[in-house]
Amino acid sequence: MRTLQQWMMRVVTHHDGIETGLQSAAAEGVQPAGGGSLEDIVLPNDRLDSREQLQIYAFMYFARLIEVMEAEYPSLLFLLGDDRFARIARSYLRDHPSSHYNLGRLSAAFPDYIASLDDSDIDWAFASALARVERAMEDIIDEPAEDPIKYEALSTVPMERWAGARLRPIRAMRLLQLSHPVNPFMNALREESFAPVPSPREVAMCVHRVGFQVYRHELEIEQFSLLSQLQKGAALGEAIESVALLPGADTAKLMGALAGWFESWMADDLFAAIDFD
Amino acid sequence: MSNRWNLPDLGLGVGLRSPHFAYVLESEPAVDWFEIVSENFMDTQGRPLAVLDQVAERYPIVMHGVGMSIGSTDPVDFEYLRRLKALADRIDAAWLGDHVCWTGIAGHNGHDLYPMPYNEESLAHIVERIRITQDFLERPLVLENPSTYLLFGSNTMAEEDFLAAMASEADCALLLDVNNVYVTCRNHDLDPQRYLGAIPYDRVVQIHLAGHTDKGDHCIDTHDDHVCDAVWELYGQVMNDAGPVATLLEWDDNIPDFDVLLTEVGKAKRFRTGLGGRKRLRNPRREDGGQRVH
Repeated sequence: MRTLQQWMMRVVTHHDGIETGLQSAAAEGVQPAGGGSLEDIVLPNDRLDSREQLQIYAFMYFARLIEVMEAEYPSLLFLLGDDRFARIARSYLRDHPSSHYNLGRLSAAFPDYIASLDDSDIDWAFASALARVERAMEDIIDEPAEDPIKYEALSTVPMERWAGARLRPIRAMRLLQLSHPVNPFMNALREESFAPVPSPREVAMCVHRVGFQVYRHELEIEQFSLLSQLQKGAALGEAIESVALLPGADTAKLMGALAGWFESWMADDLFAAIDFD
Repeated sequence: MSNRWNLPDLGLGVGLRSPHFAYVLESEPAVDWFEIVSENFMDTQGRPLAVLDQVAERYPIVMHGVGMSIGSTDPVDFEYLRRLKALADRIDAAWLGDHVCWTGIAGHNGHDLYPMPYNEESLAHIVERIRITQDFLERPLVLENPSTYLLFGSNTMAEEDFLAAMASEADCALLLDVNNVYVTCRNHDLDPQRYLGAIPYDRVVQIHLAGHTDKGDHCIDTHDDHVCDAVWELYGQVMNDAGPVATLLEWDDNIPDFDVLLTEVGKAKRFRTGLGGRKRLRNPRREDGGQRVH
């Protein structure tokens, strides 16, 4: 029975189709007991032969999984087009077959896979940037809802305790450094409009949830660095110091901007807790 | 006829799907219960779970999975079962179940309901796994007959006889998907009367109704359309023979407005009360003229 299941899985999920799947299974000696011929393993009927019956499962395997990926990467789908997206998704499924019951995990490695491609007229760096943002948007959907702390609550913290304070960002937040700005392209698509593929420009992005709504916006590099440090668990004093040490950092400007940044971030419900050493 | 576990006849329910989340919470539509796809809620702490918590406060919930892979020859996935049980406890699920199938092998998940071979070896295998799973979950499993698109040469018994023996030996419950009966019988030239006649109704705690796609030379269980007349007729027959059983309308693709589901549920209500009209449907291919679509 195990051999039968292994055989069927190889045949109906083979990247190059069931015929190659049948040859592959035979070549590797995966042959169900008593299966002298294909017709001994899968019974033909008066309308469909054995191959046509297996083909139903093979078609559904790729159709279902590619449909899931299309839903998770709508901007990438638009950029690549249906046929190219399907072709790439099919290759991805060959290299990264699903191993978990949760379909949400199926395409976790797709952004890296996209980043590894370079064989055509597509700007793959931009494609990869889109994929990373769309992946982040998917990932945070399943993070828990947390009660955010409000900016007003910070006023109760004594000044001498600030340096050792640890502001914990919500779990539904991802920070990304990208090779291209993606928001104009994604926003246009969302509005059923069109924006051209942008020129490369390094950008930092925050993808986060407010309640159950997902947002994405660009950050200044100092903001990105500060939020990254806090996300890693650094105390506020350490985090600010590391930002001040960035090449070209203007300490005075940084200190002047901090209050506004935190007010804005807290309006976006980006922090779930504040702890003290 | 009541079932062996005295699990309740929940009435008429529909599948809880994300396009209807807001409508269900705001409107509290007139359905008796909801069914969820277990895996859509097991690994999330986000909006789906928050919605489910609220719906569970207002309606009975049945958990129906697609990932247990009860027929697989891979080891039982106890982490999966732990999560399943935790969710069932969290929402006080009326019962939980899955399909008589396997979904993957050797760590490769195909996310499909692959057919079992129906023979003594596979029967012993699945019975053992059902027992292990029921012991772990501390509740009966409610297992559904799948739609199948092939039959293995190693089969030595009919699907319906396999189901009956499996349910008896493992002491599990059955979910009778009437649309799947129709689709499987169409695809393999089987007699739905023979199929239904073998089903032990005292083990059936739930019925599924759904639409399918007729490709002419075969049918696909697509859940994307209205229930067809032939399936309604089979459903009426089951209601007549088994008595009222909790019935769920599935609609998973091209999902319409909730009102469309309510209309379909209303139709099911007429069959449950014997007002839907009924005639015995034999080989459905012959009844439909066996029209071939090219």
